[in-house]
Amino acid sequence: MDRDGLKKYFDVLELEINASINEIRNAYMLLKEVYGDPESIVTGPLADEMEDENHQDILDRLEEAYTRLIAAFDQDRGEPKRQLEKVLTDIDTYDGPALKKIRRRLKVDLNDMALATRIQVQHLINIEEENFTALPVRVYTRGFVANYARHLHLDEERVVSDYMTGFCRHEKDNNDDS
Amino acid sequence: MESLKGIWAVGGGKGGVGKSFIVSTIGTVLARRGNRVLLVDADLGGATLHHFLGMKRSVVSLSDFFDRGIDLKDLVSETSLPGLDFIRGHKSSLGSENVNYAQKNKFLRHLKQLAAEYLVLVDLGAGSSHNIIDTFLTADLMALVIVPEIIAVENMYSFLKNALFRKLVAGLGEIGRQHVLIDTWKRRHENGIKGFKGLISRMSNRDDEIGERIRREIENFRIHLIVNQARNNQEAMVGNAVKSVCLKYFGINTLYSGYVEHDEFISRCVNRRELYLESYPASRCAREIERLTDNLLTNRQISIIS
Repeated sequence: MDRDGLKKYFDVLELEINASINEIRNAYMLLKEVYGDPESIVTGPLADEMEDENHQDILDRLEEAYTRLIAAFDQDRGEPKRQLEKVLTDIDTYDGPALKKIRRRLKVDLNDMALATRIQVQHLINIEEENFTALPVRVYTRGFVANYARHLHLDEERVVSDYMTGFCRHEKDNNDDS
Repeated sequence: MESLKGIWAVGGGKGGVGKSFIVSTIGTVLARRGNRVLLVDADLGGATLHHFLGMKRSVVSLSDFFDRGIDLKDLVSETSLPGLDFIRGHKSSLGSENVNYAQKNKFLRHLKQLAAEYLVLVDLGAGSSHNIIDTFLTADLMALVIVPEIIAVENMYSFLKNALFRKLVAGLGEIGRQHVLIDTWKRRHENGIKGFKGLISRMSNRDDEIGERIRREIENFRIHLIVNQARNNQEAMVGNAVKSVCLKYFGINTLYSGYVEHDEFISRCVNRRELYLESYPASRCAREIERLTDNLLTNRQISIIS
């Protein structure tokens, strides 16, 4: 969000440009009541100072500022989802290479992901490269993959289901060999 | 820790909003933290501060300053709290509001002398008379107390406008141009100036030494707002609302420093001659006064409560 560009709206709501969405809501509610309620004890004594149009002006500006700021916050919230949609267009199955492709397109660094998910980098690499033999037993790998998916805001259930299908197939093949 | 020095003035325009309570409790908090605090009851018409300090009688008072010319420093008496001293207000208020110019200047001079040794907290009287406003403007920290009632709010606006106007007149007076401001205001109808903010913006937008001076005076006009006797969050938010109005309608940037809840035990303490903070140290009010004091010291503010 371009907070500096929105400064005039923060100003109208008498907020600093780093205000949270809650602060924006609270300020809007309060100011709307102050300048919109003819019985307000705070603006009542100002009858001589204020003109009706002036009053309506303030309310209009409040409304505009609030609408613009809320829209900016909504856009921020929607942004990761829109990005993802673009990235996922050619993905059918969430296997190791697919996950790697998605992660790279999202420009997420493996080391950052390791820090955030508390999964060792080597495990993350093994997931992407499908080094199934190097990965821990099913229940742990399942947890790692779920974590991986969550970190990239992917559909966790589907990713786990797709990935573990491959993992189990490998497990089964191995058992058959022995 | 170095003891704080200077003058803090607490006014409000309306009587009975709790200025004396606020002054006595803030003074108590600051004294307990190791400062040498002097409370001065400058409410010449209706001195009440002594009641909040649990003091029945004191030998000397401001009457001795105004009627007998005794130095302010010789009128200081101790309270029951170490570090908290006190100058009592006028005892017999006959004609006491008619303090003349020379007396006022001497009073302010003596206050400043005491502020070299003490943190002086001045409890101002009601109204917006010149004597009260001049004392207010002398202070290093200026605070206004309101209660969430329309009359208190209205009186506070009036006090605020009068105080700023007087400060601007005095500021321009130093460069001999005060008549420009006074004339502009008198002829506001011909000049198309609506209200106080119109005057302020007209004057501060001037592209000369007057405009420059006005801008500087306004920047130095830092007012702390205190809401007393709030019964709920909505009443506490009157402080946020008033802050907004002061900015939008008068062009004055105020700081909303804190609120204190309504507490009926306060008047009980007064009647029993007890110090509220000594009797109810764990009350919500006591915590709010601590926070208010901290905010006054650091310029922090109360944000809007949801």
